[in-house]
Amino acid sequence: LRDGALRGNCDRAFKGRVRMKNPLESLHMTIVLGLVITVIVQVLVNVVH
Amino acid sequence: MELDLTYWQFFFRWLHIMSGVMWIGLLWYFNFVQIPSMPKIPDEQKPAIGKVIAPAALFWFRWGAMATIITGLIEAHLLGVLADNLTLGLTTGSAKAMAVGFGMWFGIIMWFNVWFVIWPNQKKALGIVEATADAKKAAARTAMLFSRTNTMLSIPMLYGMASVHLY
Repeated sequence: LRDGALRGNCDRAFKGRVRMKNPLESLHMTIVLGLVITVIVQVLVNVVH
Repeated sequence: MELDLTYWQFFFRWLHIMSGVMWIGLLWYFNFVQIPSMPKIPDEQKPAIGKVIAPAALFWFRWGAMATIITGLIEAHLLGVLADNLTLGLTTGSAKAMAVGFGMWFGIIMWFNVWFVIWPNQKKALGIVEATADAKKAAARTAMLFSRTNTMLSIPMLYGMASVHLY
């Protein structure tokens, strides 16, 4: 974990604990996740019908 | 033109789209414009957003959400598809009901988030109700994350709604 191996993705917290950033803090990730859910919905509709 | 069932189906679709534009337009304003811009605004100018613009935008935002849900449910009822859509067409085997039903459920979850998570937390964050500094900070973060959740869900929600013409 030295030299910011997790920099950009994680925050180093006290006592060696590592906190993952919530992906919804990023607007870009929010849009990507929205598109992923959209694809899942379409696949579900196609599979069921 | 007659004021028959077809007209009222159209009329409530018109109201549903108008209020939906108000709701999702303001949701995207918060997420694409206001929240990312706040760190760039000098501290002495921040009250213009927090005390004036945000409360006004939140008023139209939450009532836009309410109007969208009510007019959408009325429209689905007038079209005779309310129960079929809400059960995702699983009893009738309708692909259209499943696609639009997913859109409806995403919209209902978003409406719940607006009224029962985002608004109560924004009231604390903006000082409309009393809260400690720590509680305000936590409330602002919760409101932001649920607002982001709604932005995420707005994408498949609109896809489901618009796919009514696919089937």
